[in-house]
Amino acid sequence: MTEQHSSALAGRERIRPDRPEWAAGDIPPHRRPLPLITRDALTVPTARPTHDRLAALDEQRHVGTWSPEVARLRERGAAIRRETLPDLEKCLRQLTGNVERNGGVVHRAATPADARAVIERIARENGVRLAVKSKSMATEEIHLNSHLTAHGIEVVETDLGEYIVQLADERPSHIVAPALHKSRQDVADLFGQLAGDEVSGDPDELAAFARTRLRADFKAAGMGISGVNFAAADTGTLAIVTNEGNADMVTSQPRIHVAVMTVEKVIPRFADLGVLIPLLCDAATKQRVSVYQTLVNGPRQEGETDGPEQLHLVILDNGRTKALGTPQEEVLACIRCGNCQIACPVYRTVGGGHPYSAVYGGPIGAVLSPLLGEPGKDSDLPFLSSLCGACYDACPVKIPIPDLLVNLRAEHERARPDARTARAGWRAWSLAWRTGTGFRATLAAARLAGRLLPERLLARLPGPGRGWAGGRALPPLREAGAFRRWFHGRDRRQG
Amino acid sequence: MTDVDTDAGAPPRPARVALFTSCMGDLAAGGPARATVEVLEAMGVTVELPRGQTCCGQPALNSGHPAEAGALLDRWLRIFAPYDAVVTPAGSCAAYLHHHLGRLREPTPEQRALIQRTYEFSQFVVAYGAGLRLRLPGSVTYHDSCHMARTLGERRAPRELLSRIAELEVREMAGCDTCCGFGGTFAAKFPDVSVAMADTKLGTVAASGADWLVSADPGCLLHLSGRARKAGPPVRTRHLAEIVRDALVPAEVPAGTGAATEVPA
Amino acid sequence: MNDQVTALFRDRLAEAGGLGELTASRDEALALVREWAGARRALVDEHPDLKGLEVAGPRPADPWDAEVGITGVLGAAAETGTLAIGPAPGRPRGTAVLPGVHLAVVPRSRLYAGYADLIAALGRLAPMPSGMQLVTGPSRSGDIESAMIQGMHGPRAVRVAVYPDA
Repeated sequence: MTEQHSSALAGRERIRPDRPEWAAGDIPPHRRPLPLITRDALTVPTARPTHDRLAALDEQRHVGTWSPEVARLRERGAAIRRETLPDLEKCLRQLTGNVERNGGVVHRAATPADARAVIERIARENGVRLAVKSKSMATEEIHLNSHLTAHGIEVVETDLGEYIVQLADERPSHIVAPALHKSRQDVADLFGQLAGDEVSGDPDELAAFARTRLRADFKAAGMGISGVNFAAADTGTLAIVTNEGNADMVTSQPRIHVAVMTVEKVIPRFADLGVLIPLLCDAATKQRVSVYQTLVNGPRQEGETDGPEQLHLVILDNGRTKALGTPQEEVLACIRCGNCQIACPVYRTVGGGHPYSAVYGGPIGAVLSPLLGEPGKDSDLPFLSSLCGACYDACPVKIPIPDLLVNLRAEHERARPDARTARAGWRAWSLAWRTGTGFRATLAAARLAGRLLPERLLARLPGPGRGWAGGRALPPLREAGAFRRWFHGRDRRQG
Repeated sequence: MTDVDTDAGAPPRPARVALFTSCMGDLAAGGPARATVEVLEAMGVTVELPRGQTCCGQPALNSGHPAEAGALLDRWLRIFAPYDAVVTPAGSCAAYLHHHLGRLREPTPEQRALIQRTYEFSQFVVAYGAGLRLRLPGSVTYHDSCHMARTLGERRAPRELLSRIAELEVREMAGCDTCCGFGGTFAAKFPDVSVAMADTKLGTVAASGADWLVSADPGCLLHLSGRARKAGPPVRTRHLAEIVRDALVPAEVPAGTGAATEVPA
Repeated sequence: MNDQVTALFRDRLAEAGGLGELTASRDEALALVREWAGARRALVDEHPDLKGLEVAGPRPADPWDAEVGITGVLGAAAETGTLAIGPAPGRPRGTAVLPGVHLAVVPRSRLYAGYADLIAALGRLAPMPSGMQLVTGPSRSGDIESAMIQGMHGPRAVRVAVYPDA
């Protein structure tokens, strides 16, 4: 069996990547500190328009409020997503048994390297040269595309947004809308470079351009790779949710289908899809349901003329089960709707998920990424939040993201190289403020500093004041203690 | 004209009321604390200021130091235990106490009850200040501080209170509950992002056309006024308690004479 | 035929960008499908609900060349305007997704009120088909500036004829 080269990627060498290093498809190993990356991010020309589009979306969709109907789904969905956590392994074993009974092959992968190796082996053993993919954050997590490409297997993203970021050599900047940081003109420029020709900025024409090129690859590919939104333990059904129909293509036309899921995607019952799919779709795109839900129960059966001959399910852990039994296990309830990202004013302000320097950006990324060993223990990621709580209101399964971030901050402070010094500073502060005298001494010192030192000098002292004073006038420190003096002075005057 | 104490249907007012200034009130935002006292006194409440109070511990917890935060919380619980009600002009601190008591400690029923009778300023005034006569010509836009709106779940009381001020127009801004970028430790750790968020907020405030930006959180206000003074649009900020204090119509104005009669009780 | 459930199905399918017609009989539904298909190259599933359907257009040798795909359904949901299609011999997965136009017939007895009711009914199928495609209106994408694009990879038109069968 011979397969052609990808049609969708033909001309890719003409594309001149135009993106900051931290937006790259594979995150560079040496990362600058997040305060510097996020500062850069504010100056990227797409940041402001992206912010404005996201803020408009947040407003239009009333993110954070729920209709009574969906509010009921939310209660039930939140409970269903926590049902599996006390004995996740049992659910996974049940799922595995049922997928195998349906004729699929199940592979457990502890690490990204394990998952990559399994998928590469399946491709190699079957002589696959070209693979088409529908959207999958799990495969982003294991950096599958660059691995397969390095081993001579072309991989083509078929979700329109994923196709755009693949061509631009970037990562998805949002969980369900990977290219939301790109304007129509950005996409037209990208497609224009690919085609070596002028391409119109009309979204319909851009979509038609991608559709035509990707259609040839759907037909030619030997392998389809998909993610999994939910895997029902009781039937072994893999549910994949799309609007474009690319998962239907990817799971039905190539002769091999590899589905990649992370451990927490398992749900107890097939019937739970009746709750979770409408809940996911409301949160992700404000639809009652998406256009397509592709339910995979196994490879093609005798007498059928399409559908994959082989179905493989790769179940990836990548640090997740370590969180079980800890307060952080709540993050495993996530259904990847991306609503917390749209709700997050920090995410919006920095122009999407790239500056978070992890596969998953935004609020959910800040709590999930540390489990996956990203972006390194010393990262300030849990601090990249104003703890405003919009993410919690927007979460369809009620994950207390701000509380989880606060927990992670404590972990960060324990693990940092200068943990003792940091702790000592806070301890000294708390000891002082545990006495009225200590507190009043602080007020007196602040007042003295405010009186004696000009603001220009105060702003340059090391410590939090410097961060503050870069863009803001300092608070009037000379007024420290003024309220108490007024209050008690008044008492004396009166009596 | 009815007196607050005899208002039909009003709940019995707590006898001993303490002001929780908040560390920010003591350090840099004395104005809102003073205005809170003045408004409570206009309601006929005698305000006590427990001298030993310091801080609820929120800055430590949000910076990753729960043990230090817990120690300050313990102190807070001891100091305010004797009072029938605690009122604070810091919405965020009120929210913090309500939300984190059970996360940091296994509270006793008495401690839970103390938190239940801890009020953010507007909650207390809306509950017990029906007799206040308020008038202030002008317009304001209200910024929902995050912790007060989302953690404490209080969006109604401040608006209710503003609506009681005669001749004051409330102009809702777009994204009134979008974070201003303060976020405590966030403002210093990610100053550029924090300031960019302030600029967005100040932009929507300016677009509202209101004379004053009002909020119930000194933190947001220090951040926003600091930004406005340094580089932003000429937005004037005011704490909710200060607006209400400025709107107090002196009780000695005799009924039936002058402007006061036009003010609904 | 115009009960609440079928009317809801038609309205919700319309909201999703599809077209639902409520017919008086299976014959009428098939006639409507034949009219919709016209002379275009069509894939027609071997489905009992489509028995006797003759379309004017030719059957393409390569399913990728089809312009119209015609299917029966495992079931449908009024609340969302959703069709559930299952593969079987003579009913390839490609029929509903490869051509630019998808036509389907739905007997009233398999039209469920809620989406969860449809899911529950699919869960009772024994054995379950090797796959199930749930389809709500035409394929779409919002990946470029959230602008809605109709007809991304799947059909750009979905038309459904509902008929009474009991």
